[in-house]
Amino acid sequence: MRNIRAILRKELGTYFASPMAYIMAGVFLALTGVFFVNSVDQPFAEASVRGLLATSSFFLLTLVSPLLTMRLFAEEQKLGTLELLLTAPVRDYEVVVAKFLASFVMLASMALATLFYAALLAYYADPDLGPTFSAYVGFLLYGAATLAMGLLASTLSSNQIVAAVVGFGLILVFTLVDQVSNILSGTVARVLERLSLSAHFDAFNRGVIDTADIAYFLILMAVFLFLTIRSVESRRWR
Amino acid sequence: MARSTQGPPTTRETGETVFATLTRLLSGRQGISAIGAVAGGLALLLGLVLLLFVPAMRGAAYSVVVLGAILLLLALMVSFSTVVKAVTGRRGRYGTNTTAMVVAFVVLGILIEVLAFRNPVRWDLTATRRFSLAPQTRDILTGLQEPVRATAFFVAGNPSQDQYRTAVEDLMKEFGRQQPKLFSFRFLDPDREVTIAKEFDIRQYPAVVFEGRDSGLRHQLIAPFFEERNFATAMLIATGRQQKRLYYLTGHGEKDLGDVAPDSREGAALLASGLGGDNYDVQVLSLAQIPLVPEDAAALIIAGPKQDLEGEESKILEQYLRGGGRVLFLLEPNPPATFSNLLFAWGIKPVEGRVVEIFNSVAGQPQTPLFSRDQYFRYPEDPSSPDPFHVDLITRPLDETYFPGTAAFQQRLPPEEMVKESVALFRLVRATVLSCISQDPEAKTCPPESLGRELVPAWALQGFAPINEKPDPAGPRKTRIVVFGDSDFVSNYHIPSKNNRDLVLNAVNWLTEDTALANIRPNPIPVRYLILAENQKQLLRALSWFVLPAGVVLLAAVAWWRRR
Repeated sequence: MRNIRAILRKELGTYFASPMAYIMAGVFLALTGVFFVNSVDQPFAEASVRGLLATSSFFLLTLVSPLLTMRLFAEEQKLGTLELLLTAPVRDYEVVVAKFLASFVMLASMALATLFYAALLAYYADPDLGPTFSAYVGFLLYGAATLAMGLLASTLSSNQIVAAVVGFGLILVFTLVDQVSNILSGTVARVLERLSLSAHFDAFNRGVIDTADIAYFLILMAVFLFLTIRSVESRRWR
Repeated sequence: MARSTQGPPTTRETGETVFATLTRLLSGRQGISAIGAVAGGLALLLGLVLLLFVPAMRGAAYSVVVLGAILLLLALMVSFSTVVKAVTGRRGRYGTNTTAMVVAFVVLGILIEVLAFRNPVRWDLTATRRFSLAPQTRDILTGLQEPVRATAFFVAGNPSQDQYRTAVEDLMKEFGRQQPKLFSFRFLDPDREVTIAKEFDIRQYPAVVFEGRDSGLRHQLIAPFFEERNFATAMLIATGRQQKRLYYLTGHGEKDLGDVAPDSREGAALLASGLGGDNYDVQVLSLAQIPLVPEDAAALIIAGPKQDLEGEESKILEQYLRGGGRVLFLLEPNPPATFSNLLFAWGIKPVEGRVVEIFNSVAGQPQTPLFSRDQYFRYPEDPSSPDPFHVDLITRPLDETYFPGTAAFQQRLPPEEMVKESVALFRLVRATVLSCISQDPEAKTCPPESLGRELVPAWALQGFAPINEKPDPAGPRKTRIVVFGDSDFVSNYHIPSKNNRDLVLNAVNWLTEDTALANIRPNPIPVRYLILAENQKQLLRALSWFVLPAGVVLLAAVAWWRRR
């Protein structure tokens, strides 16, 4: 735990000391602001963050997560500091978990800033707080899964752009896989639908928390973190 | 630099062209093996794509898959030693080990997900539990015998339709979640998919059509009948449940079934639509033209008669009731005597005058009493005893209802004088103790001495014979009657408000013994609209678009300054 804490602190320091991270957060919040206004600025608009988080999860997490994680291993590989890190008395999983947690804290900070919109809704109307809570829980789980994918992509290349593109592609596949299921039928269609990130998030966004959806996001996150650990470890024998 | 001098010579260093390199690599046994492996892999991929996406070419797809497998096998046999070396070498062993671990981890993850999917625990966090399906709906879904598809016809970007669209989509998703194998749904724009809209006979939208995929049966719902009970009924119809027939009495000034004006207080077209949504076929009955209640009548509805029954009509209805008839009486204060007499025989009589409610009424109208949950009677009175009548299903699932100008009824004989075997009477709803009966149609208050009397504007009864007549053990089926002291609450104007529609539909469901439908509680969708004035909208836009991003950009500037 001590090692994880140390690496986490270092990564968070890098994030929060970098103007780029703030600029990315600023762009994220500007876009969420546009999505929020679009979702409520219409006749019969429901006083909820449902529209905001549905659009944000689709458009923003697909883009922001790879941007947040692309640096984490790719830059270390490029600078040659990954060898130093891996020969230090820390385990591979500690490095991966700490970097994952750092990116998650960054994403969660950005997501929680959007509670400002929920506060605006509460001021002007009477939103249902249960679905607001569940939607944010789902959004954070969704984000955690996409960050794990981005982290794996970051280990695959020393070029940050390549890592971001690979991460973006991975997340896109898991986001849109249910669209493929629409043109199929039977068991294959159902399995593909069960694989979709957006389909699992939908229930959270409506106000329903289902243990199957929680398990899906946690398992997806665990699988990609495991793959990341194996990918980092493979540098020792490749 | 060191690598470039020690490693194998590159194409540029040897002056070899790409074509020459490829020719060298692909010549000899290894080259044939590589071509075979690539071709086999491609064939396998193509075969799987055909198998998944083009079911019509399934035969060809299998052939391509087999061909791919053979090519891969051949490639393996030709380069067997190379493959063995790759697998058993140092990197190969590590690689195999890692692959095995990854596969084991993924399989474990899949198993956990399958377990979680099969044993889900759900929390519906919405204030009104709007995503919790009634047990009856879940039973209908799990008991489906054939695939059912719902097709929703909504015009995209139409605000008046959008208010229904989300609710319909949410409900369908819940249905799909409950029955992922046999229930599916889709949304179509009738203006774009004109052919399909014509095929489904869509004349008015938004509309949702439920379709039994094997039976080909269809049932169409139109707005506003997009609630859980409507969907559950539609599924039953689409899978072949027979319609029951209701008769609607006319000729005595009753509410008009043909009046479709939404603000009409004399029209009952929305009542007919609601009954249609519950799978009833409603037919008009004029006893002056057909002097009998047809045998296929599941129930008879009498809504707001203003004139007396004539000649033989009373006898026909009396005989119908004696023969196990089912009648819904929707009367008004001081109803025509011939209708009161029908009820009198079964032990209920109207109280003269109208109910004035000074505690719980629709704002400013004491003659329109409002009924809250605690004003419905609960049956059985002792919860531990069995309930053979299921009367509770009429009112238990409801929230508020109201009757604009209602009569009250009372029991004709005290309970001790009743022959229990003949009739069982049930009070359904009562006014509060701060209510009274008044003869004045304009009364707005009650004299203190008139307060405290229990006033019951709705009753239900089940019996084998009129009161104090000995029932015939070999007689026909049991008679059922529901009587309301008001008919205005089922008019087009009032029926969509509160739970008025559900109350009258539940009463019909009870009369016809379709209790499963009555028990599907309407999940009210609370109005949580965001309504803003123009200046508030401007402020909201400004705060959302600029305040947060500007704050974060300011932080970026601070970070840059500190790093500098």
